[in-house]
Amino acid sequence: MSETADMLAASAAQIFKRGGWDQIADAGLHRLLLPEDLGGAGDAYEDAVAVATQVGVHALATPLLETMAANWCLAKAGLNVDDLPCGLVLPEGDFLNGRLFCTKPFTVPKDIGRAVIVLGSDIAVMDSFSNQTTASMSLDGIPARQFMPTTEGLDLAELASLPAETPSPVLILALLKAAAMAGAMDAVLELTVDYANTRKQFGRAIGQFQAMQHMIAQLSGDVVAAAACVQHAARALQGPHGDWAVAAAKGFTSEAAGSVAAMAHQVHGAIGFTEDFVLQRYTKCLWTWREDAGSESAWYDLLGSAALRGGSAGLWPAIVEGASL
Amino acid sequence: MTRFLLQPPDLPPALEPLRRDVRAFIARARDAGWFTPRCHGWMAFDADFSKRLGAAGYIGMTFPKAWGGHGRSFFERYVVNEEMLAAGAPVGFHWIADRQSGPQIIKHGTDELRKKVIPGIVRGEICFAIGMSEPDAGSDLAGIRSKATKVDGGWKLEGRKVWTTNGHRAHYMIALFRTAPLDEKKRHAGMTQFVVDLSSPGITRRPIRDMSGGEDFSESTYDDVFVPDSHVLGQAGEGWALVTGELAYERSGPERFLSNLPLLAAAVPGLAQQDGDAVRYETGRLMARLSILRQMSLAVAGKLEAGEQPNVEAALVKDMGNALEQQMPGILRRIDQRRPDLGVEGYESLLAEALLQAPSITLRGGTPEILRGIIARGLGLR
Repeated sequence: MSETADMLAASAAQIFKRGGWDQIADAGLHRLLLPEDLGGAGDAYEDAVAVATQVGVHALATPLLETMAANWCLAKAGLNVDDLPCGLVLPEGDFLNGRLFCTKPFTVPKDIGRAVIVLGSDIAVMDSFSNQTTASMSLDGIPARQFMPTTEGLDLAELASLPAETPSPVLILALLKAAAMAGAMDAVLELTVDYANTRKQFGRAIGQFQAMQHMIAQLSGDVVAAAACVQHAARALQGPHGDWAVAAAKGFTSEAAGSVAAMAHQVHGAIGFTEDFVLQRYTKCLWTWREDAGSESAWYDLLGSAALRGGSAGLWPAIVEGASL
Repeated sequence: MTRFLLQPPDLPPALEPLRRDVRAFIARARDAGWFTPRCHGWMAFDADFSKRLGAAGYIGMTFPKAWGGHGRSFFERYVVNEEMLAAGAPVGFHWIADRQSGPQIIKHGTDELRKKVIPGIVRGEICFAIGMSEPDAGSDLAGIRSKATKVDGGWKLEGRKVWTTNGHRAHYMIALFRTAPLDEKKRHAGMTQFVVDLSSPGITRRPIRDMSGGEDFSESTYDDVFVPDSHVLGQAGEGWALVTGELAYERSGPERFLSNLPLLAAAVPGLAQQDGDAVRYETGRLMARLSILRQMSLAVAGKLEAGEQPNVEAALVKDMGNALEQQMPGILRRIDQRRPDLGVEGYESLLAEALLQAPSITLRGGTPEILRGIIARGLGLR
């Protein structure tokens, strides 16, 4: 990590410990990916990943990552950016006559000013949330509302297009969510090692049993790999085949989220299943974020299709340099 | 808790011309019939191919120029080696010497020894083996019984080594012998690494045929074998520290996850024809993991380049990489109906060979059980 990213991570950690939205907005974290004249640091993916990782380390129940990605879209499309939490929706459907016709339900966080809807390189802003929604509560504790497909469509406030050569917004959100999962997994590993060293059974710390040691060692492999692939993806996104690295990172972290959570719960036993113990906050985040911006099924499918298209000779270059998805 | 971070390095752009050269070399070699691509190329023993690589300057790349090496970076070496493995080139003759025996001798050997063996390693003419395991000491290496006794001008070796890769056809072996009796309170004390000339009188050696029909492993016995003082590495009795010092070199390289890439490459045309959700998912999953393991392995190379000793990180890479290599034949057979067949050239025989090699992946160079113990201790589990 660069020095700037380290400093950002440290200050984000301080804010997230106390943290409401006002402190986050005061620090400008929601504008991090914007150009400098809008209060950001350009397409500073490595900095954004440092902050997103802290979102995971603190199991932050605020739609900061969606807001960061949504604001990035708005700025790219030349639309106005504000300082409220913002949703980011990647629906299936069409924009028609200033309305969104989606084919599947989607959710947005409840306490937001606006939501940015992305369909390919077209984006739209939704700022009135009609009452045709049902309450939704995702496992990470963020109250949300769900929109169902309707024949009359949903009202949109603004429509714009992203300039050519802009990375797809789903890549930005996928990278941030992967980073958040890497952070949450790191926190889970720390809790697990502490617990295994503290909890005694049969006269010794359970962490002295080989079965426990091996399970925790495997867990740590996933955690180290998660941090490494996120870091690599943030850098690769500045280059030609960043989509490959982001796909690998979001696919891997989404897959690892499940096994890391399962192993950590097994080490913790009953206490980890209680509401009072902090582990569940992290595992619920992992189970939520792995579905956001594409699960491993979606990303592995894209990677697999690209690899099969590239043929035998394309396999190794794809591993080294990435390939277009 | 101790944190282990593997930060993928920013590779210098200067590596790209080197990579192009290596790929061109490999293409020429394949066209000239110097090799047929196969899995586990780092196990494939081909003295002629190693000489050609030596002549091209691709062996001993990180060795200092003062000792006859090329004085290049770990990343440059990495590029050469990963390209070789990905192409399924036979690099087994020099692999161990280039990876760890040469570096070990440069670090801990006498000048006389360096002069004697390093230039030959760099030319691709000297093959090394590592003699650690014995009939009663494998993962628990402190249990070795082979011993060395001090004599005038050197040491006399007595004992037996087994499961030594290439031991029956290598020129030298870096062998671990007891130079002091086992002390149960300090089990790792009193062992010494010797560079043994395998043509010395008193050595008997034979290959051990494995279940795949290969003869990589060997057994050797030592009956009153003289080794001069100049062939001792480091200080007598300090062998354990030297053994652990080479582990990061041994465990983190591309051979720990790329060995079966030629199999996957051979599978791709058939898989593309079949398509289907499971085919795409599993192919994508393998590609994601290979891409990520490569970044992790490069991060360890970066730590080695910086002079660190990343043993725990290397254990992580080997454990995850080996698991992936070992699972690959099983994953492929779930999504591709072709049967393994040693008689059918192409995918079928590669699959058969990979299946037959699979058990060996996790029994050489540290088993998962040993690696996970190292990782657990590294994390601070006590």
